[in-house]
Amino acid sequence: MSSKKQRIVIFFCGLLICSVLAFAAGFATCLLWDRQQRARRARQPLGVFWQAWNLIETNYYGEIPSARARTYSAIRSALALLNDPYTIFVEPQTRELERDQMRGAFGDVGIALQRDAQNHMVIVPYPDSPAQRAGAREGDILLAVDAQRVTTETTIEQVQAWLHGEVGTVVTLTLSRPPTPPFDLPIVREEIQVPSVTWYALDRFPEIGYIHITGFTERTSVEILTATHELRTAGVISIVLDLRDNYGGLIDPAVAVADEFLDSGIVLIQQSRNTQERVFQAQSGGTATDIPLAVLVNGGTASAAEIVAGALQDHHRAPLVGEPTFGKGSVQLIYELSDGSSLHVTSAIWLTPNRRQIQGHGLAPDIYVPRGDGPLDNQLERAVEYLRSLR
Amino acid sequence: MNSDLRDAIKFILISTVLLTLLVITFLAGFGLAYLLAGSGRLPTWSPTVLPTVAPPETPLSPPTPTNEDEQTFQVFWEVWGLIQQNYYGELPSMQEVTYAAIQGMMSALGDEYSAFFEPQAAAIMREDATGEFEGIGAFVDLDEEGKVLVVEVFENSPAEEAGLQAQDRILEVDGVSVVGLTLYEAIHLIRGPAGSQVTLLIEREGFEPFEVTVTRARLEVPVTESEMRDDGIGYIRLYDFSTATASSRVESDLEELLSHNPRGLILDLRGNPGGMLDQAINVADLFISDGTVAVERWKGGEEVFKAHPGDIGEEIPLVVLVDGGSASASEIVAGALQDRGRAILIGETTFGKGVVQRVFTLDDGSELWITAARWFTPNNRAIHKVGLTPDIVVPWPEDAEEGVDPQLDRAVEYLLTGE
Repeated sequence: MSSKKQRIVIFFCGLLICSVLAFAAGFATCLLWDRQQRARRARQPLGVFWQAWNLIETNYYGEIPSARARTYSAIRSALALLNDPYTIFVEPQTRELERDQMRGAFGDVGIALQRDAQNHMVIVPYPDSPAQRAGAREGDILLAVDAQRVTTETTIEQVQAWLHGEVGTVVTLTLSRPPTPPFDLPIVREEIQVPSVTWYALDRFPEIGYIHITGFTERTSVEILTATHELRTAGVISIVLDLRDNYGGLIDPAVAVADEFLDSGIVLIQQSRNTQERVFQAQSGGTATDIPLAVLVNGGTASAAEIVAGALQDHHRAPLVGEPTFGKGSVQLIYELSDGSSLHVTSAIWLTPNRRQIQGHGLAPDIYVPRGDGPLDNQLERAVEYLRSLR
Repeated sequence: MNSDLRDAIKFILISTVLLTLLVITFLAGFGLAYLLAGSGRLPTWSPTVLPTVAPPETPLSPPTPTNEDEQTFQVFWEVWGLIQQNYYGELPSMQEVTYAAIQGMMSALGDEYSAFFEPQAAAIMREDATGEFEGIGAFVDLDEEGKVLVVEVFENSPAEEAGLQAQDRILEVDGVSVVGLTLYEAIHLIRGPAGSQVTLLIEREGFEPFEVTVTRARLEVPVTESEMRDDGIGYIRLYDFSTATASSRVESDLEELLSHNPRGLILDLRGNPGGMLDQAINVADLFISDGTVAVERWKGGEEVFKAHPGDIGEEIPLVVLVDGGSASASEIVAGALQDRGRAILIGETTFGKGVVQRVFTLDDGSELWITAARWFTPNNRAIHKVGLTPDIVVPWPEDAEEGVDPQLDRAVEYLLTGE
């Protein structure tokens, strides 16, 4: 009897122990399983990101911005990790504007401006521009824009801003063309293709040509050929190439410009992470490879403009006159994305023919001339002085 | 029937029952753990730091979108794929990208209180929240140059013994430079098991940088400071509510003071930035016998927190000191005591933070703080961006001399004279 009782006690004790063990085993198994699940989820690309996303959806007290806004914010934040100011994400609305800028179209009257020997501001209408069709002529002196007087202190940039405006609106130029008395010329602003290159023989030294490239667009390669051709035909024997405040643009036109002044050799080396170096060579047949040349640069000379300046400097083709350049020597690829936004990716950096890195360094001028305060362009003066000293 | 057969059937029956029983208990254990883990009430065993995954050579194939949000999010994968293919420089790890993406998504909310903390920072904050940590015993912060600045050295701490002083800057930890690290990365290096040694390179004004070796110890996070004053008033200062021991420390300090039969009590919440909601409720409950302490409301729900009778602080005359640095949990306590007529507030208008964050631990050990609710005082006052106005306003004098505290003096006067 007592042994049976003992057996029952032992049996239930065993049962209890087994139950506790089974319970504990179940508990531990679940924890292990849970841990594995978490580790697996955490290893998935952006696994914890989606966990956070869902927690906000279910718990956040305030107004939750749209999924699109959160996505864009996440993209911008991820790109910021790269620490590269040129790798950027552009949302759909702003991209339209950016395309317009690439095409170089806005409302204007279509004239180039320069100061003559008497420090008058004179105009050069572009061919077939609204200004030319309205009757403006090269050499007309600009006295006022919409009754705002152009004085000796007024800068070219200021006047450009006055001329600039919405397509279809009217701007009135007050012009002087001696001996005729000053007259008003109303011009309707149009969307015009801005030439990227302007050129003329200098007023005081007609034997020196001046070529100003404001940016490298699709038109530049053709325009530079026209410029050098016309200047040579006009009897110019040396050239000042002005790349100041030229923020760059397309790469091929920049190579074409360097090529125009170089006979042979490397123009540019492009280095990317994965692929081999790409070397841009000058082709023989440039029409201005022997004409004496000086290049104007300043802190606004960037990117494609630095390529041109760097190549001409390394080949000892021309001295750089002015101030150190900006130092933006990286290449961005621009991709359109499925939702209408776009991405600029820094995909490569540029080296000059002597393998100098432009990015973050810039180019030092051979002849350093800081910009003066007065209306006199002392950097241009110095370049002219250099070219005249060659004879 | 044959007795062998009967025994066999009996054996099979009993074993089946036993086996079923064991399976059921196993499942019960599994289920309990599952529920606990799901509600986040278990310490998670998840790895606190995810091993850095090297960026793959081939672009990641983005996961197939399963819902509208993931559809919208596809553009992120387009961007990252293009970056992996084309970007010239070094690529960050997928882990860094994930954390940056979370930070970006959080910043889109435009809420200063919702925040994301990477595993290392989250682990340090979780350790601090227990009320104890293993380290050297000093408050540190980053200065304007990003150097680790010693703000305060705890009394009787290893840091004090080793001669560390406030305003020292820590340049290196065990030979590793900490300049440029985040605050939590630096703290992670300075902390370590009790008994181990750490060598710090210290920059101190007027000295060449010098090395100090400190033996780490297990230390309490300083939470309260209390004093029985000569005038018979008890004084308790609570630094913050961010440890799980805040209310029990106040209670034990209070118990000690009550043994001296004080005439009144000052609870100093000035400069107390807040912390955990439950700690605030518990501290208020120490002084209130019943009724509402605070109400929390979220999208589609609310919870009313009630006081329970039988606490040691329900009788003693009470003044609460507040100022513009008293925020969040401090305002819950001050607001409850003011609304319920249990104490008067002396000092300056409080900060005005009336929102509650819920803390979620993510799969890799990082933490997400989400503003999930608002709270209201017992009289249903919303104090967000408004703050509490003291019953007796005593501004802090612009040119206060060291050791002068007119707010404290006014509180003592009130408790001694009743006005």
